[in-house]
Amino acid sequence: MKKVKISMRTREALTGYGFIGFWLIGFLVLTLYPLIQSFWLSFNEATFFEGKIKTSFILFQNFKYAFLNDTMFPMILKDYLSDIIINVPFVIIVALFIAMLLNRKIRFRGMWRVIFFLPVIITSGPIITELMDQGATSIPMLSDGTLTGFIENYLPSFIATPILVLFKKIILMLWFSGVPILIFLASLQRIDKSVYEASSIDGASSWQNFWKITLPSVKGFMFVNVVYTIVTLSFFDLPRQTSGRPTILTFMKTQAYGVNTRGFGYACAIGIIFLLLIVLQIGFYALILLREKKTKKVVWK
Amino acid sequence: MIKSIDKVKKFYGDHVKNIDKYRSKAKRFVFGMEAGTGFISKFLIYFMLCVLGFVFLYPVLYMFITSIKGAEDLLDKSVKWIPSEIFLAYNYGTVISEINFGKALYNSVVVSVVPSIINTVICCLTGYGFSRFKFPGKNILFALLLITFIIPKDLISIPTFSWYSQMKLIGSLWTYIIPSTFGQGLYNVIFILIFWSNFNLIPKQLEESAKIDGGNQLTIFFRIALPLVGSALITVFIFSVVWYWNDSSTAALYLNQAGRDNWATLPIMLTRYQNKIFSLTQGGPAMMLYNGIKMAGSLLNIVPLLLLYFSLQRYFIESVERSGIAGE
Repeated sequence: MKKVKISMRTREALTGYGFIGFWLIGFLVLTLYPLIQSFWLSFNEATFFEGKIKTSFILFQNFKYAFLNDTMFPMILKDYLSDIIINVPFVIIVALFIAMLLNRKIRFRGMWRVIFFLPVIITSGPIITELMDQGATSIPMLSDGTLTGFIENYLPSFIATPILVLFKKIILMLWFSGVPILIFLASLQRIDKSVYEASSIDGASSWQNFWKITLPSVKGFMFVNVVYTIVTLSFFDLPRQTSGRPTILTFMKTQAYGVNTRGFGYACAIGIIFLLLIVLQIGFYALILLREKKTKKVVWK
Repeated sequence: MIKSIDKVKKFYGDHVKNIDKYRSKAKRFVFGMEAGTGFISKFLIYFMLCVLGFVFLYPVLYMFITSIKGAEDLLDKSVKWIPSEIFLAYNYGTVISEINFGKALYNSVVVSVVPSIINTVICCLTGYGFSRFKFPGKNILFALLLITFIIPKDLISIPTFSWYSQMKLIGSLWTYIIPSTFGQGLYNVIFILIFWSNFNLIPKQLEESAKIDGGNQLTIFFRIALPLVGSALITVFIFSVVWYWNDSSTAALYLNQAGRDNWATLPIMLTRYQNKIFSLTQGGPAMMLYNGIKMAGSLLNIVPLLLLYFSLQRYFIESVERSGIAGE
């Protein structure tokens, strides 16, 4: 028998495929293929009966219906967008702020980190729903009182409404900053302390240090955090939004599995719109945060 | 005479010097040598930390207090933190029998531990593959792996749901085991990233020397690489358990279909109880009477997680910091 000779490189490649094999099969069969199928379904009128999907091709009818005929979907979309536009920057800024506090020489740093990370462990749909229903996701001082009245009366409604909604669930938003805080903290600790010392000797204030040193060096991590926050906020399985209307995912699931609804095709169309929205948001933040400036770049180790 | 004047001068001089010293000491204490080390800024920092810490813990405290309140206290808005009567036994007793706590707890443990074991193994292998070997299409595959993070899982699950129901798997644990086995379970992207970054930290020379000594790839993986990422294994496992435990949407879709709810987990039972109360009171103000019982249920749901977190918090926190660096 002749022994087949395999070069070192081929052998390495084969071993590599071997290690990622399970994932690769799963990705192709359980993620990519269903995604393509969902995409195809979104151009179809699809009904689900006894385990089988029956389809008839209708091109863009589902998408057209979503925006032009459906009374519910545009409202849900508006709720989602006005929420996420204000929530993501809020979570990121709060997370950076807390991380900077924790990055100072403070006592019991471990204890603080444990407190700020705790929500990541205990948040789940039913718990949050219960807390929201009972009004425990808001600080009493903020949610009722003169401040909200002032905002309602003196600010235009397209600014006032998102702020009031944010007040209503401000603790919930803080709770979503657990992971971003830790990632920011890790990135802050990588900045060399001597850089700050040098700039202070040159007469820079801490305000300038923040804009010129801290912010540029955490920008990459900020993008990671933004993606994480967009994804977790969008996919969090809450049944209702603060406005009382269902979230996009809940709406999609009722359309797919509910009775007297438009079925799988329409649900897939909504899912595709949702996916596009998320891609657009991430692209927008990528443009802001990952744009390379032409000026000389200083690289910190 | 002159000598004594000198003495006096010296005496006062020392005093003046001391006063200066004290004054500068006091100044340093209040304002600090450099920005952020003085008493004022320290006070501000701790003050802000305390406020934020309280805000973070407020819902948990609220949950606990509400869960021991009786009906009267729930209706009385002036009773905030100290209930006039403690209904601990009644509230918890009611909810334990309502949500069938023993069975739901068992279901939750099985539904979260079984896929987590598989996740840990498969993600570890995948992370190792991406970290150690060169193969064609590796970068594209890695990019695709990252992209799957932003795809809504409910979009994917529409076709997969129909497959599972064709295979009559809805309501069984296989709907969890199959995706996990092929690396497509909950948050597997993050787990693969954690392993990938941990393996990247191990110097390659260790394995190369083993290769020269004639070890094959699997032996090298099990004998050298795996023992070095022990903490990542624990981390991924407990994170996975926590996320499966908290997940209610996948569970509601695959395990909670009509007639087949032998795997109803704690969050599912809790949602069911919430809905039951909602329809019982028709969403009216009478719903408030049940707040105490519902909160007792919520708290029972998170107590196992809290115990896990406080005993193993080191693994949770360090791993996120490390994988954050990798995610750059």
